[in-house]
Amino acid sequence: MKKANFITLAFLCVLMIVVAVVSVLKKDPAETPDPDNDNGIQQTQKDYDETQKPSNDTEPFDSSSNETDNITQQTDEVTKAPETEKPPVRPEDVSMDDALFIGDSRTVGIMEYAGISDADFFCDVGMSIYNINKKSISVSDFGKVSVTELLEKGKYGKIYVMLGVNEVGYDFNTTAEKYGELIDLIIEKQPDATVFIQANLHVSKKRSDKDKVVNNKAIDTLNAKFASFADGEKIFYIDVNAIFDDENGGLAADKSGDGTHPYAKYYKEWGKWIIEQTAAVM
Amino acid sequence: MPIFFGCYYFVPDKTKNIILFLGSLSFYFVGTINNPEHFIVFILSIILDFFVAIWMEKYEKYKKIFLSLGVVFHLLSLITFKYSTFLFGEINKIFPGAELAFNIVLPIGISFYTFQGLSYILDVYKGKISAEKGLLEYTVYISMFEQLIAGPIVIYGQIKKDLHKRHIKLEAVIQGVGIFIFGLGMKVLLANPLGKLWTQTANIGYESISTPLAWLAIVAFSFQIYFDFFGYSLMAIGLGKMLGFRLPKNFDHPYTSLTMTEFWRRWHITLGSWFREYVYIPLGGNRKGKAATIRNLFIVWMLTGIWHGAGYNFILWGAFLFTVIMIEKFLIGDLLNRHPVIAHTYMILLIPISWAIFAIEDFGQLGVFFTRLFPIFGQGAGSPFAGDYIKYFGMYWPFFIVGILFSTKLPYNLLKKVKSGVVIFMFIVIIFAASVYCMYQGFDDPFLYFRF
Repeated sequence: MKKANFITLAFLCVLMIVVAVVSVLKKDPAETPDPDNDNGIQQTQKDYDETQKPSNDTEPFDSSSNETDNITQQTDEVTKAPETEKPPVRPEDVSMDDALFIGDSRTVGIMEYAGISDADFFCDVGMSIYNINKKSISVSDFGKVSVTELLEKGKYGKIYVMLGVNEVGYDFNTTAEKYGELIDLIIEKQPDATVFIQANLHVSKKRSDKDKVVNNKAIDTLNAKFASFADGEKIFYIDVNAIFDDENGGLAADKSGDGTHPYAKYYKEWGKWIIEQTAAVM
Repeated sequence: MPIFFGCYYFVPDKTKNIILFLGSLSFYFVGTINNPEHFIVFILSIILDFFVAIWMEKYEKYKKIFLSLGVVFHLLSLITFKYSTFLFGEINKIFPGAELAFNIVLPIGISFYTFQGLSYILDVYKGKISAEKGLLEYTVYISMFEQLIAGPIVIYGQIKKDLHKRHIKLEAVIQGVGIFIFGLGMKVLLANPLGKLWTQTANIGYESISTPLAWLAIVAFSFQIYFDFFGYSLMAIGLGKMLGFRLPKNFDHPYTSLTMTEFWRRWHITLGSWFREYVYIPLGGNRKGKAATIRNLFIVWMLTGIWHGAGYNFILWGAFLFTVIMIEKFLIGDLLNRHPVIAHTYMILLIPISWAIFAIEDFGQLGVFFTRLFPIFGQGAGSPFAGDYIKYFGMYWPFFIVGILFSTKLPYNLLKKVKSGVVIFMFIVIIFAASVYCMYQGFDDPFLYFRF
């Protein structure tokens, strides 16, 4: 064999051996490969909601925690309908023409596919508690308005708020504080309205395990903080994850294409559930 | 990359192959860092092909055995890495007790470098080329980073000269940079945004989209896959030019084709050539009667289908293409070639339909999507979100316009006519700046053909 070829062959063989040895030494029994992450795309907080990327492979991770279980239990108690002698309201009797929905892309989904056509929607992909005051959105008869203008001009009996998934990368306490300010604004401008704080929908387990920022542990933590604003009289906390979660506590994989938003056909179910929850407290 | 190019241009011509060898292997090593066995299989396949070729020439009596060794290795590794997950899954469905669990990760570029390796040993066997005497040079041929992971599929004979002797001219480097940036722009500024519409539609769920949105989405996918792959091929050709190699063209305005037959002579040209050279012609091509021709074309199209992916939809896609091409060959081809208006209308419908079969891997979902494309059953053309297509058209219409434009020959002819270097320079700078901005903002997506 030519000398050059011998050197090249030896180099290639040594390279293969080094690669094999290093991989054996590096192998952590709990680690599983992340094969699709070829160019290491990092989910940036800003673009999370807007890009709606399809799911990739995962690393095992237990996203549930005892802490959030306790908090969920507390919030269940908070949202229990107060004792009343009024006859129960049937969901079919609930009118949504005095309803306002405020939220991010999940609320856009409700707007487009839930069939709640009478309600007003102040929502946008990427909406967050940090940019909501800068947003100017076209809402039914009001034209392009900011959220404050809308709350001043409109007259609502029910206001549904779902924000948070675009904020999980920020400090939770700061986010909760700003969220509280939004709730205060709503109550100030619409004192007769009943406010429904919607828990943020979980992401799928696959997505949650892979994403260091947007995962169900973070979503649950933020949801718990928002839930503390509920008083059980005029402000209620409702959690749709009850109908979308799978046994892993994440958005059921067969109900979502991107692990973040349900397929359009499930928004009707969501809308129906919202009306049922509303009827239960009226 | 800058370090690599710095070294590459700095060293004398004789040493450039060493730099390219080291650089390409490093890039592939990094690319396979999570699956080191992929790197090892890659190196082994290179070493094996090199020696198979040498031995075939040295021991002519046994060349069939050596060829079989090489071919079997390549086919086994391709089947194992590409098709075993699918095959075992199907076996599990038929024999539930089998419980064969296999979730193999596809090594990056395997479909491309396997075909290159096969073409090499087959050409040496046929006596078309003489075996490469330098292992380093042969490794460079297979592992050249600019074409390793997504083509074009380069035949050894096409770059043998450049492999052994190349002198980099500044003009070629500048042209190469320009072509590279143009390709990057196609991918980042056209393919990726339009791809988002397709992804969004899939995430809505095909049962919930209107007919106009279904057509809008599949046209978007048709543009995405074209500009993605065309863009990547241009990037490879541009990088090749910068390295002193002339890589073959892979696309020739396929969306201007009058027939599907013509389309596949203009789309992924190097793959079509490979199948023609190493499957169709050895089987007899069209020289052994009508029945044999049909059989040979069937084999080529089924193989083309499954080369693109392990799934029933790819088999269906291959069968669909074969059927269309047969109909054109024996019935309507002449008519289409003589009447461009009819032909273009025909292709405008057929291209997205063929891509729908390619894009949607689940048959159930494919069925649902077709009921949206052709709403003659029950559901009608509407969707729960009335005017969904207006929303998405409003978001994407500039990309559609540019996509249509760049599917024609117009802009390319225009660019060729521009004599002013300054204008070209500004054009390229704008594309580069816009692409970098989009990538920085996180608008990029993995290259579609990487799963091959």
